[in-house]
Amino acid sequence: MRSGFSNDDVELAATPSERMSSSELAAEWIKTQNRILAFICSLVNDFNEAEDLLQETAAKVFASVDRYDRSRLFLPWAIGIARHVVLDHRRRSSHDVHIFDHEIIDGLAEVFENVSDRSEFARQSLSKCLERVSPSVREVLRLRYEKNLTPTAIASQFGKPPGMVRMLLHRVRAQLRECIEQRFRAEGLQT
Amino acid sequence: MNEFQQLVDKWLDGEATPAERDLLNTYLKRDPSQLQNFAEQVELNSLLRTRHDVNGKVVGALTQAAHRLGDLCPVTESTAWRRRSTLLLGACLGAILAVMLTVTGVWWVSDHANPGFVGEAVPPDANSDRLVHSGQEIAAVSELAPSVGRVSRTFNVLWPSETRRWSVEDQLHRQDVIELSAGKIELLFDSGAMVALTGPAVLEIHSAFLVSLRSGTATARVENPESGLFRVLTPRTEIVDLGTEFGVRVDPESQDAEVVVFDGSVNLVPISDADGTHAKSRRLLNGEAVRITKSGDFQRVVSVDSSAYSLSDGNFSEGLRRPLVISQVADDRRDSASPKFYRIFHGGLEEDARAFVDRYHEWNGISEEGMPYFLRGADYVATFNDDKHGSPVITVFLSQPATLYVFLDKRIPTPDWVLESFENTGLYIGLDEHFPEIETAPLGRGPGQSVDHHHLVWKRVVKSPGPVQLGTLNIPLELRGSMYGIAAQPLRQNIAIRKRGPASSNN
Repeated sequence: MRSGFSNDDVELAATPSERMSSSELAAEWIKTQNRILAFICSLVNDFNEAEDLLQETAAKVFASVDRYDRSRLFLPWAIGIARHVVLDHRRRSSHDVHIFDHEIIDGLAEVFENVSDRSEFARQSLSKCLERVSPSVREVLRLRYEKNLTPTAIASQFGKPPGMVRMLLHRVRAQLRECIEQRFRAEGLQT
Repeated sequence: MNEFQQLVDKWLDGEATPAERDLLNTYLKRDPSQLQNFAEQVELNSLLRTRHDVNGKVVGALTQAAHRLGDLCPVTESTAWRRRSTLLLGACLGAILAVMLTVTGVWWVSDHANPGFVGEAVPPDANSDRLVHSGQEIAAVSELAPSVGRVSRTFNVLWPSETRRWSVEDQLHRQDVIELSAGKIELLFDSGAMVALTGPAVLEIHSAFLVSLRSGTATARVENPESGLFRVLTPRTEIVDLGTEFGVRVDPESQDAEVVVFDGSVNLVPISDADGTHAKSRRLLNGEAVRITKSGDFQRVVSVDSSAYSLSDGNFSEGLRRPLVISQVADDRRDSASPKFYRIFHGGLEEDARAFVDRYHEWNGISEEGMPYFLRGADYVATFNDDKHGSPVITVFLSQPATLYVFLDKRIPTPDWVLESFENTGLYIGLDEHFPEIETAPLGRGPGQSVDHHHLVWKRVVKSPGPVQLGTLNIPLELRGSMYGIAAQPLRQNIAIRKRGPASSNN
C-alpha cells in the first residue's frame, strides 16, 4: 500500500511545532521537483501540460504547507498532491479523460517516491554525458526538448523521414542512460 | 526493438495515441517489473526537458506558486495572521527566494548555463501591491546571481541617456540589457562565445548561451562549439550556432533580420507564428547570407559590407579611414536557394587578407617586398572560388571615381573582357592557399610566405561613379586555377587633392 497523499491527509493540520517553514518547504521542493515532474510526465505525455500541472502542484503544496507533517517524508506527500492534481485535471479536461489504471498510477507513484540520491547525481551526470553529444544531435535534442516538437515535426524541418528521427532519439536516450549508469558505477553507487 | 519499447518511445516523444497508451497500460499491468524501467526512461526524458527549460517553468514553478498564493505564505486560518500576512509576505517570499538562490545557484550554473536560460526568478505582476517586496528580492537575486560573462573591449561608444554605461571587465548577468547609440563593445561569455556589438544596438542577455538582439548589428564567434550551442534570438528568427562566426543585423523599424555566416554554419529557426505553426528551419553555410522578413521568407543578401560587422579581432577598433569606393556587388545568377554573398572589405586589402568567401586562401605579396603599393588599403571583394569554372556576370557599384583592379590567375588564359577593357600592370599579387583538411598546407604569415600561385593585376580607370560590369570566367575543368579577385582605390587625383595637390598623370 502506498504511503502517499490522500484527501484525508490534507485535512489534518500539523501542529505549529511540526509545521514546516516556507524556506524549508522551498528547499524540499527544489530538491524533489525533478522527481515530481517525472512522475507527472509518466502520466501526461505532453511537456507543456506536465509543466502546467507541476506549477499547479507547487501551488497546492504551498497551500497545504500548514497541513504537512514534517515527521513524514516530503516527496511521497508532494507526489500524492501531484497525483491528485493530475487526476483532477483529467476529470475537468474536456478531451481525453483517460489515463493509466489506478494500480499503474499507484505503482509509478511508488517508484518515484523512492527517495534516493540518484536523481541529483543523474542530473549532474546528464550534463557531463551531454558534452559527448555532437552538435547536430544536440540540435535535434533541442528541438524535441526545448521546442517540444515531435519527431514528425523535427523530421519535416530536416527533410528526413520521421522514423529516422525517432530512432535517433531512441538511441541517444539509450546512450545517455548507459553513460549515466557508467558514472553511477564509477562512483560506486547502486544502479 | 520490441513493442513495449516502441510504445515507451512513443510516450517519450509525445506521439502516443490513446490506443497506444492503453496498450502501454496493458503491458505495464501484465509485467509490473517494467514500471521501474518505464519510470527511469520517463525521468531521463523529464531531465532532458528541464535542462532545456527556456521558459523557466520548472525552476520557476516554486516562485510562481508563491506568487499565486501569496497570502498563503505562511498559510493560516487565523484572522490575526490574515491581518499580518501582507506584512509578513515580503519576508516569506524573501525566504523562498533566498532558498531558490542558494539551491538553484548551482542549478543555474551547472544546467542552465547550457543551454537555454531560466526565465525571471519571479514573474513581475504589476497588479499586486505585495510584489513590491518580491521586486526588491528580484533585484537582490539579480545582483547576487552568477555572472555569465564580461565586457572585454569597448571602442568609441556613445551611450543613450539614462542607460547603463558599461566598462571593460564589467560582469554580465542574466537580464542585463546593453544599449549603445554608436561605437562598438565586445562581450566575452563563459560559454566561449564572443559577441561584438555595433551601435546603435540593443542586446539582452539571457544566459552564457543565449542573447536577444532587439536591434542593431552583432557579430558572434564561438571558439568551442562542443561546450554548447550559442544562440541569438531576433524578432524574426533564432540563430543557432553550429561552430562558426556569424553576423546578425536587426532592422529597428521592420524587425527583419539579416544573417551572415563568415565561417562554419548556423541553423535558422523561424520564430513560430501566432497560431503556433512552425516554419521550416534552414541551415546557412559559410559564405551565405539571408534576410528573414515578416512573412518568414528567406531572401538572398547579395553583398555584405564587412565593416558593418565588427569582428572580434582585426577591424574591431578600426573605423573606415576614407569614403568607401565599392558600395555594393551584384550578380546575374543566384537566388535565395543559393544565398551566397560577396564580402566587401573597405580599405581591407593588406597582407594575409582573405581572398574568397568560400575558401581560407589569402592574398599576399609574392615576395617580401609585399603586394603592389597601389593595392594596399584598397577596397576589395571576396568572391567565390567555386565560381571559377563558370562565374556569373558580376556588377561592382563604385561610389566615386576609382581605379578598378582584377587579379587573374596566371595559369589560365586571359578572358576577352579583360583584354578589351583593362590594362596590364605587369605586377602580381600572390595567393596563399589553405585547406584546413590538409595539415601540411598551413597559411604563411606576411608577404612572400607560402605563396602558392601568382595572379596578374589588371587595372581600369573609371571616372564616373556607378555600376561596372565584369565578364565571366570559365576555367576548363582540365585546367587548374582560381577565381579572379576584385579591388578598387579612389582615383589618385582624389587622394592628391587631400594630400598632395594636383592629380597625377595616371588619371
